[in-house]
Amino acid sequence: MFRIIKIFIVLFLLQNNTIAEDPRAIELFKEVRCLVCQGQTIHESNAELAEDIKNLIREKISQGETDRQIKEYLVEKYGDWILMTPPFNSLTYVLWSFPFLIMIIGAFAIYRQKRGQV
Amino acid sequence: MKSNHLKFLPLVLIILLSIFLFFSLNNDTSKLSSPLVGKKVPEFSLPNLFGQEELTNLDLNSENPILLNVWSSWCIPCRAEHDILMVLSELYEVEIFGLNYKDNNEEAKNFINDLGNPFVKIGSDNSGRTSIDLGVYGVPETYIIANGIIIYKHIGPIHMNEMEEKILPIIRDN
Repeated sequence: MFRIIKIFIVLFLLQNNTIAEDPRAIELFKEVRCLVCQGQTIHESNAELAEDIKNLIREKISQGETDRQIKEYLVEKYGDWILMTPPFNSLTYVLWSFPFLIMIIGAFAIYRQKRGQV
Repeated sequence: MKSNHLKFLPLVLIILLSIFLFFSLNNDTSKLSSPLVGKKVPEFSLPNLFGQEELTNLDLNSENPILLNVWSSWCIPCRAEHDILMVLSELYEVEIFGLNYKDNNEEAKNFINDLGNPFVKIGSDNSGRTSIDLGVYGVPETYIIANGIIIYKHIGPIHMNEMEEKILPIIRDN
């Protein structure tokens, strides 16, 4: 019984030690790639560079920068690759338009097939 | 007749996609070039590891190409690369500046005292913040800078053949 109480006390202290993270920071962490990991965001990573970039984002938020400014800063330093969602630009338009293109081709194929059956 | 051809369309698409994805498997994301190539070195100022005078971006404004090498005493590949840096500075008389990344100053000094000092000046980036400004992923990394503009970035240690085939030609041509 005494041991259980002790465990609860320890857990309670530990819980108080973790500082509540700003939800805005968490949202940003989920959009920023951990550059030295494989397919992870910095939110999921404890890599040193990821921790450094998290600290930098926290700092920039406290300095009143907008999400957009922070992302622009990171892209300026590390390129589009640092964002989990690639932006729509001259390099990525094929990537972004491909699903719609496939959908249109598919719809066209189905339409033709249906018409052939009637 | 025409619909017979169409039957194979999905198969052809899948094969094309597989070929594309197969070749993408070998893309090494760590070899991405930095968006900072072609841009000015960002402003920074770092305490000097051995002296009083700080290392700043203004030190890197020389007309002749110079190197900025990001290194750390805890980084094993940096140890391997160090001989190449010594050759570059002593034999080829290339000016090399050091950026000591997230290191302990005493250990960094020991590293240099043991292995020799190829650097004109070393700045200590203990927090790693300046390195993020420079788009550093990890150590070692080397920038070639001319007139304060980054003209090339090398990720990872410089091997002998890379020094001869990449670094030296770029230095000669600029």
